[in-house]
Amino acid sequence: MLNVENLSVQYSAFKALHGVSIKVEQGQIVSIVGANGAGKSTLINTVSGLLRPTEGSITFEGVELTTMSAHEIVRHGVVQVPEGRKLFPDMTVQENLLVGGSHKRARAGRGEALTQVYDLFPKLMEREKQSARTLSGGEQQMLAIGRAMMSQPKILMMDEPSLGLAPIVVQSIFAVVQELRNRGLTVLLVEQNIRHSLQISDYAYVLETGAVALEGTGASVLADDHTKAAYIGSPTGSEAH
Amino acid sequence: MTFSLSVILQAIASGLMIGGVFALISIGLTLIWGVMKIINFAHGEFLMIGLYLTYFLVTQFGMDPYLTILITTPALFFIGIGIFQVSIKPILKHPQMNQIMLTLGISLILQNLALVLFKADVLSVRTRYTGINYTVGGVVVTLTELIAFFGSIIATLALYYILKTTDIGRWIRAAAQNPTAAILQGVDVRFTYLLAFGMGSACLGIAASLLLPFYYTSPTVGLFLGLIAFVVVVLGGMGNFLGAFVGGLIIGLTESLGAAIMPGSLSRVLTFGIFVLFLLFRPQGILSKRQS
Repeated sequence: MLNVENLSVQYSAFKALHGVSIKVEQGQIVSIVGANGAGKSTLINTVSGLLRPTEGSITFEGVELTTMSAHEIVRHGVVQVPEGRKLFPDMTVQENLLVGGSHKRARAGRGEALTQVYDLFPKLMEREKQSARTLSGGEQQMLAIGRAMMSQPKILMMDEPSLGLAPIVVQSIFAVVQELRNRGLTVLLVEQNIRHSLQISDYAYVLETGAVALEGTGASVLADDHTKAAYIGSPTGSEAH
Repeated sequence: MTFSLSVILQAIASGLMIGGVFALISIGLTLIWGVMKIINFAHGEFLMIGLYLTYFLVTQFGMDPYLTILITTPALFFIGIGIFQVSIKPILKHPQMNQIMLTLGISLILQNLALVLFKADVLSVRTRYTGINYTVGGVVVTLTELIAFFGSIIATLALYYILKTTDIGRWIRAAAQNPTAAILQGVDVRFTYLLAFGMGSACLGIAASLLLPFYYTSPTVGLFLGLIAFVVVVLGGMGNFLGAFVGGLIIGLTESLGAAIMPGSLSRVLTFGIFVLFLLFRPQGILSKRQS
């Protein structure tokens, strides 16, 4: 479905990604994990068209994305939930959602999508008329996800959805990610919460200094000695199931 | 010096009337700033174009001055987006100083172009609305001022309604609050900037048609009105719609009261004195909270 091939991205003198190839199949949850600065956000921002690659190609359902402008990529169904939510703080919850559903392909089903989002996140309905800045961190993340849902994504790319949230809220966000997949959505998940994201992933890539260091099913990456030593840091036998 | 109550009341009434038009002019400027963080120093000259256009439609074609709104509004919209496309869009990401120089340059070009085309004459129109007054409790209000006031209020409300309830309005606000996030919702932010610039300029078309029946036009008319708009926008808080509206009324009142109680050209001291005080003590404007 999404095919990233041999992707290189450079910020002036600094090469953030070199030769990264990843694949996401329809209906999967695929994780990109790795330390801070490994190039995870660079990768999905390049897929979103916010950054331009120096080399490589990104195709979605066979269509090349690297020559498309960022807003067109969204209209094609490749939608990002950005790191740090990036809500419209002075607009109400409902207005934030409506902006998400305002491009041409999404507009027809907007009422239905709104019902679905409120169904998934009843808290958002309660706060419909409040401005986004008044929401708690968890609610803001729900709104960011809901807003992305409004634009009728075919693939949802989530950048650090659990960042800065209380553990109990993190649980519910991961539950939402699984729920979205169960509803047929494809998810590309970028996370620092490595153990948790690998547990729910069908497939995973470990990024290290801008290159894929390891890939495999979520379970196999989780079981890998290198992953354990480098990221999970728990002595053998203590990991959760 | 003593001031009679009726002089003060008269000044308040006239100040409010012209203040409504100041508000409409300023809302155009604050909209453009709020969305793309560009201060259009040619804003006053765009208004001048509108005033000349109204003048010629009335004098050459015998149009009703208020009917010219149907022409001046779209004309200024398209002039605005034309100038935006050619000159402002290419430097949107450039340092602010370059943008200031560019819009100042456009303002000078337009002023001098007007000087060449229309000479330095001060032009005004006489219409069938001229000379009709209403007296309420000793205060005289002219029909043209009344129409300008209510026309400006209606235009302001209409713009507010568009920004508040339509997709285009939400795009404009979203792009103003977080352009990257707007792009990630599929919003074409460049197109949104174009629309916002056009709408901000279109306000001047409406303002020009409402203003000319009791005002004048000249190549330098935009100098003063543009400056007033700038003062209002600072007063109301840069980019604050409601603030620009309230600020417009306040500056209208200040101008008018200043003229009534201070001798001659000293009256301007009051307006720009307020401006300086705001810059010093409340740079975020009357209604805005300080940016966190």
